Amino acid sequence: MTTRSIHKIILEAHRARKRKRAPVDVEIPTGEAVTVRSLNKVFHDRRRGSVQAVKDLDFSCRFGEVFGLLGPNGAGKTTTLRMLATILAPTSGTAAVAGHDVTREALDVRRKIGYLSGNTGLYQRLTARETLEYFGRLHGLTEDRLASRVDEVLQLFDMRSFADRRCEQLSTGMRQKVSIARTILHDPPVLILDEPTLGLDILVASTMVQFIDDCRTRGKCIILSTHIMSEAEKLCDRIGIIHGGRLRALGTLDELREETGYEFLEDIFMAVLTKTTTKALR
Amino acid sequence: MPDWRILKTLYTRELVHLLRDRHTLIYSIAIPVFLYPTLLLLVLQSLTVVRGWKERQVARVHVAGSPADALLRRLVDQAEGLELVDPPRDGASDGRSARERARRAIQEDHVDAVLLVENRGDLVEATLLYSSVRDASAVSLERIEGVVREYRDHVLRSRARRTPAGESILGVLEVEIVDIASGQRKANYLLSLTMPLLMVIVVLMGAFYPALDTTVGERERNTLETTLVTAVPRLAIVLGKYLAVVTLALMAFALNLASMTFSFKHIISQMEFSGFSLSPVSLLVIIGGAVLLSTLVAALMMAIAFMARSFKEGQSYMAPVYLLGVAPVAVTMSPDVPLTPFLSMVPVVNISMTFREALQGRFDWPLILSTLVFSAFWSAAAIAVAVASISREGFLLADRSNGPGRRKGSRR
Repeated sequence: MTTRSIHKIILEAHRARKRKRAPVDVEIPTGEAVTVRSLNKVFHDRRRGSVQAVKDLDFSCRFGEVFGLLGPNGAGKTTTLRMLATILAPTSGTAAVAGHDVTREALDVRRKIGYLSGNTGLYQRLTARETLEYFGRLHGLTEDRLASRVDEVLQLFDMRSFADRRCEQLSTGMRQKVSIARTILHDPPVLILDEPTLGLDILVASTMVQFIDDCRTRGKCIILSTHIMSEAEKLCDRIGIIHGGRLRALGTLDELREETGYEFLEDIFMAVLTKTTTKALR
Repeated sequence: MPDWRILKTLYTRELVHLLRDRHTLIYSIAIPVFLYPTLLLLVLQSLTVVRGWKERQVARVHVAGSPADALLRRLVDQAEGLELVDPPRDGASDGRSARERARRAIQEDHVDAVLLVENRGDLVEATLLYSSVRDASAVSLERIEGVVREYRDHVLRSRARRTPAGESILGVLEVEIVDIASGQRKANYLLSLTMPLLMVIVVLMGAFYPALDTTVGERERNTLETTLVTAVPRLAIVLGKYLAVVTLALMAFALNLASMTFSFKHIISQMEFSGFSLSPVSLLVIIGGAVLLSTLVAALMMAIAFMARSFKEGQSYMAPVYLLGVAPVAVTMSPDVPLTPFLSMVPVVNISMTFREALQGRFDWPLILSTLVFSAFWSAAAIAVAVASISREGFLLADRSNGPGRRKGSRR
């Protein structure tokens, strides 16, 4: 039995578990959670002039779906996610999150999203509990609701033992738990996760993967950017491969397999990039 | 209309975060409470010691020239702080002029000053040689001038006695000098010359670190992005930070004022003044001015800090701001510079001059109003710049190592 066959069996077993875990009592909203149409982003750099980071991007994702955005460094993934999170403004095109336009209704969009990236830090001089209370209040939770939500997430991520310690005294794994808890505290329907397992050890990363999986089963839409192919294989219902600011491939893992003729995502990814680069060279 | 609950949340978080920082505690509390008063006391104590030392110093004076100057020699010998000496004679100096010998005697440290006297009938011409770069020599100048005045009076009186009118001929004008300023007014005046500048320095120092920490410091720690993706308007985020910086600047001011009042009372008691006091109106104007100064300084510093790409760059921007704030205040602290309509428009200077006037119990209400209006205007302008900076998408991207450096972008 080859390594690839073993890998395939493990993957199938994981999917089977996932199907088994799918809840029957969660009402998943219908319709598109995120729609992106002809999205463009141009940066103006003093040294390099105009740099087009995102070109005519089109995709959408539904509630109860994990959408993976894969691509090499500088492909435009983070820029796209930052536009969806309203941190950056699109140069042209439109994007909507939970029915709200990211440009015209930025505050409404921010109410509907939970944004987490490898770069987002925590206030080091606040405790984990203070951090959660701070963000809960900013998201407009009432004091009663805030108290119960903080308790819930502390329980959910097993954070009670370090809830009253300052973030500067926490380990990387504990900090990541605080970050995740902060992201979902206001129970947003859409999660935007930019390389959420970056720099984490395998135990913490696996907690993160578990968390994303659970969010999907609770009907949330998750847009996930990652460099870890195994993570994308395990989690993503659909995958978009972005390179040079353009979407080069889009579909379920099976559709991408069929399109490229490769079994594993790593090979599929390389095939798409090679095809794109060859085209560009011609 | 701002959401007060959100604003309170932002403000409280900023304040808690700042007050748990060692640097903020040093800059905003420890330095204003301990360092400045200690420095002031040390400087004044040193000046007193130096003055006492100078007063105790005895200057060696040589009186040379006509033999008819026995009176002058006697007066020098009797004067306090002067010692009549004759430099050693050497054969080589015989050929030189009296002035040259005197110069050499001072240079070789045989004497501190030489008074060369020449009798021309009824007129005595005297030349005083001394060195301004030697303490004992410089001290001798004032004392010898006193001796010369005494000598002149003595000669004039003896000449007047030889006239039929006698000494009454000298009574042309008698002047009595009376200082009507009370000890308290003198103390307040002294206070008005020093306190405004010190207060400006304290507020600048109190706002300095918090302004950097809440802006560029937060961006460096990658925490700002998490707040920016919450459903909170940018203006509220800036206001939350701003109010925290104002609070710390005011805290520095209040602590320093209390500490300085205590120190100043000690200094005043040593100067034998009857103590200083402030009227309720003066106190009200000073407190109002402190609030105005803190709001203005916090706004200006935050507007500048938001433009910096890193904490280090922010610190380098602040040094000139510090100088630009302090230098004009130092210049306009002189009692000869009045608060004018033009100066009431100049940020920081207008408030420091209002402080000075209030400490002296002078109130020009139209100019105080002008100070208030223009300070509010400058603060609002600086806050607008800060909001524009944080709304600039390049603000978050500027220091990203994986980003394309400084970018121009649309506003969010």
